[in-house]
Amino acid sequence: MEQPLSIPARMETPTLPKQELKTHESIEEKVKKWTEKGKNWLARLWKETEESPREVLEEVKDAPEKQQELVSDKTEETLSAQELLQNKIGKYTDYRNENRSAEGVLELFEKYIDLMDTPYVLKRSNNRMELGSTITTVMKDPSLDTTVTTINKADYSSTDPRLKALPKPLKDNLTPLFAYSEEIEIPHDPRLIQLWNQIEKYYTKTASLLGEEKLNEQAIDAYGSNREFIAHEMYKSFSAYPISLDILYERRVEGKIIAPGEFLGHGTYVSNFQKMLENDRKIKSPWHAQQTVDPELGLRSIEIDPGAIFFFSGRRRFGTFGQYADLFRGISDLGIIFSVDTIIEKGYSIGSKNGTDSKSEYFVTASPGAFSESKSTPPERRAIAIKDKTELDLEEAYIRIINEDKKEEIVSLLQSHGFNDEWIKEHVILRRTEDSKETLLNWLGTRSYRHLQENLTSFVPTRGWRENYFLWQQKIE
Amino acid sequence: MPNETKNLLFQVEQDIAKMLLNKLEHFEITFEKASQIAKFILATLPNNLSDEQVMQIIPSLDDEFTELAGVVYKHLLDYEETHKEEVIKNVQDLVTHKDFQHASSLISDYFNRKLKY
Repeated sequence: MEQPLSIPARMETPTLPKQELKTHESIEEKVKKWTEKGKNWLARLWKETEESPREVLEEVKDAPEKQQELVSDKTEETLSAQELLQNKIGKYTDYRNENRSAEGVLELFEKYIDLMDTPYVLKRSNNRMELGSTITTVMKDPSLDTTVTTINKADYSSTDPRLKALPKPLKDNLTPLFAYSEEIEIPHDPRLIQLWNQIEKYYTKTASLLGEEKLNEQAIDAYGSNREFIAHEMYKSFSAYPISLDILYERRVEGKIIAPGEFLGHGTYVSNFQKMLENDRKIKSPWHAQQTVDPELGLRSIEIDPGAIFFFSGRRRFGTFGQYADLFRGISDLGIIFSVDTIIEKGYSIGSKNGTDSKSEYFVTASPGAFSESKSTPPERRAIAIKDKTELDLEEAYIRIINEDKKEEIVSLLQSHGFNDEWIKEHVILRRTEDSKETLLNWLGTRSYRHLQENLTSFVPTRGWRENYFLWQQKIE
Repeated sequence: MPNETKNLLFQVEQDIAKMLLNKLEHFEITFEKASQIAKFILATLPNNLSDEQVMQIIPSLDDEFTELAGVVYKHLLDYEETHKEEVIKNVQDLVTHKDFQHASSLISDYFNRKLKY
């Protein structure tokens, strides 16, 4: 009979520390706290977790009906949270009034950088926030021992089709990091540019630190959001998943730089703009970078024309475009371009998409009257109206068609919007033809883009967009 | 509920209830999402499930809602700690008696389950 084998002593393998669900406060403390605050619903539920958690789940199932009870409590939290926020970054509103200074804005940015170096937790708001809302609360989360920042959503909604492209944890927690609202008119100061670059470097560094490594999404959710999550979100947002490509150019007007770009907020991305510019002078739709048009969102790659402002938007169900979605689909797909000058000369700042009260509609084509039949009847269309009825002369606009095969379709669409054949013939320029650049330059030379004509050829993206831009500015001034 | 009746289902429900309340307290989750999770749990984990049945379901909970990952992880770890020694002992017995096929199968099951989770 064979002898049984002897088994060597087993080596112990290290195990991860057991994950405890963080509560920190005891149930009794929870019950006491919420009872004292008069939130009996929460107090009772906490108490019930001890004996009948299933009942708790039954009640939470109906939580939306109890929302008001907690929302009212949220106000209390928000008050102290706002104080914390102000301690951190100062009075944000100070930078938005008429007295804001370059120093003030600089300080704001510096504070943001400081904030970025602290661990964060991003939280979803209970409801989709209106456009223009910004950081509202900073709270101390006892369970995580980190500063918790709640930042309102700007133009995201959980049902926004754009979110489909995001990993699930991000979808569930997606919140703009820096929801700059409305116009933030940045006074011109070279330090701002320097600082801006620092912020960009921070993002770049963060992204490179993360590399392509996939974060443990479960961990992100299970253990609460942390700095990595933010970095991840930033990385995804700035590099892989720019939500939209509402490009804002720096522009000095009367000594000010108008909207040198925004962070997330309204889905405005400038961070990787320079990179795009340097790489191939194309801004690409993030979801379908290889396609010219995203069939669902209407986003597409678009060639960069220095000095031009792009009306570039997708078919969105929410946010800025709202009821003008169809209009936008037509216009943005056509890619009507005005120069920045045209916009600026009309006295409009760039960067606002803040709903109906906004005077400075960045997307000037979002005008309700832009293509209404009552405004102008085909084929007499001469202008695109801006929100306050001011019109932008269509003589200043042009369209460059990427795909020649699409020209007929685009022309038909233009005609249906009231553009006459004469205008179409003169303003629709085909790209990717041998003489397309020359054609465009010649065309620009016939209009207020004359200075662009000269500078288009001297624009060297590899030297750095901003540097060139300012050289360019100095040159034309 | 008396201690002896606090089965795995109870513990899981309790952990999830606490997790949801915590998140609601700190506005880390919307009411709508909390409601969805609660509905999902109530539907997925009906009353009277045995511990073994609950254990079979637990790993899939966070497939639907990643918010549940912490709870899932906690219970998987519990389960693993409880059963590891038992598996090791069984495997040792089998190996000692040169029943390598069953030992291998048992180990394989153990690691497959671990990987799956």
